Amino acid sequence: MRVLLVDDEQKFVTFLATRLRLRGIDADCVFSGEAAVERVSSSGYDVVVLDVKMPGLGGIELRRRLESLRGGMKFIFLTGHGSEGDFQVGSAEASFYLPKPLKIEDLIAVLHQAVAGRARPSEDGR
Amino acid sequence: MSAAPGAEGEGLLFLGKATAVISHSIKNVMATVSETAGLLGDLVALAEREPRRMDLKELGTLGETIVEEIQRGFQVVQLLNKLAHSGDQPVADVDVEEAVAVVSSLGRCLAYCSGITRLPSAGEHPRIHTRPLLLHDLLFRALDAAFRAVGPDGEVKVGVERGADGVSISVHGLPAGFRGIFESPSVELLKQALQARVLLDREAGVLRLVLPERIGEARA
Repeated sequence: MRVLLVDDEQKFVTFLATRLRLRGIDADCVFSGEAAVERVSSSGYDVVVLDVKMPGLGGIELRRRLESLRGGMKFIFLTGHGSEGDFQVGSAEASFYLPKPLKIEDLIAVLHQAVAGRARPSEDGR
Repeated sequence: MSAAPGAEGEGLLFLGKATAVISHSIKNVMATVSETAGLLGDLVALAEREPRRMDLKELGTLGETIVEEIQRGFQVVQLLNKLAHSGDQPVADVDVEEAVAVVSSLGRCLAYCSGITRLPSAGEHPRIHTRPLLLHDLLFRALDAAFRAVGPDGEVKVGVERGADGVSISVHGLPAGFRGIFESPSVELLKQALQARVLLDREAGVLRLVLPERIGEARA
């Protein structure tokens, strides 16, 4: 499984990518939406995990750009807000939605569900 | 002395928005601490299995990151505390430089934040007698509008100076198409409550908030 993590919180996303790699997942990270567009232009990924709110290109618009560049990728939104409104937007726009801080086991479970093409979790299953 | 009810409501809305912005920042700090601690745990577990893979320097760096993040979180909490206390008294003496610093810090928490630099001041910290919470609200609206106009790659400069008609806070670096913050009824309420003038020099790209040294009792 190839995963691209996109978040402007550089240490957060760098360490998260390292932790995924230690668990056998091929994970890369970039720190902006613009860098994600560049990366996806040259490399394919199974799943993109992206922050909803980032400077410049935010998560919602980024997902649209990446989908137009390369179809078939799954998307997981991360957010620091975790409000009901965010959940509604996140679950409508992406395969899955996880609030920060997250448990890596939860992320890995969701990555596998996304790749397997399972339905997004119910609201109760957040 | 109380402000018009509508203006007080604006102050509450501002505190709500500020709290939401700050809680987002705190969650980001917690997320980074969580991943850093998680990685520390992963590396220790790895070293238990393969002791030769223990990299003490890396462990030390991760420990330092946790300390740095806790300091960042502490600064965010201090900001929250300052904003919360801006509503302690409806009217009080306010250090304008300090108010600009607090609102600039809040602005830096926004995802679409531009760069902010402070223009050199004359050295004094002008104090005015005004409504602290509403002043922070008006200032935040000015910075928020400036960030949206300039964009995250741009930069705004903020200055404070005392003049003949009070103390002015200027926001520089606005693009030609900047429409200002004048057209909202809520801004009008704030201007009235603060007895402030909001001036836009489109040619120079400067937005100026002019505040009286002391708001008049009669207009409260």
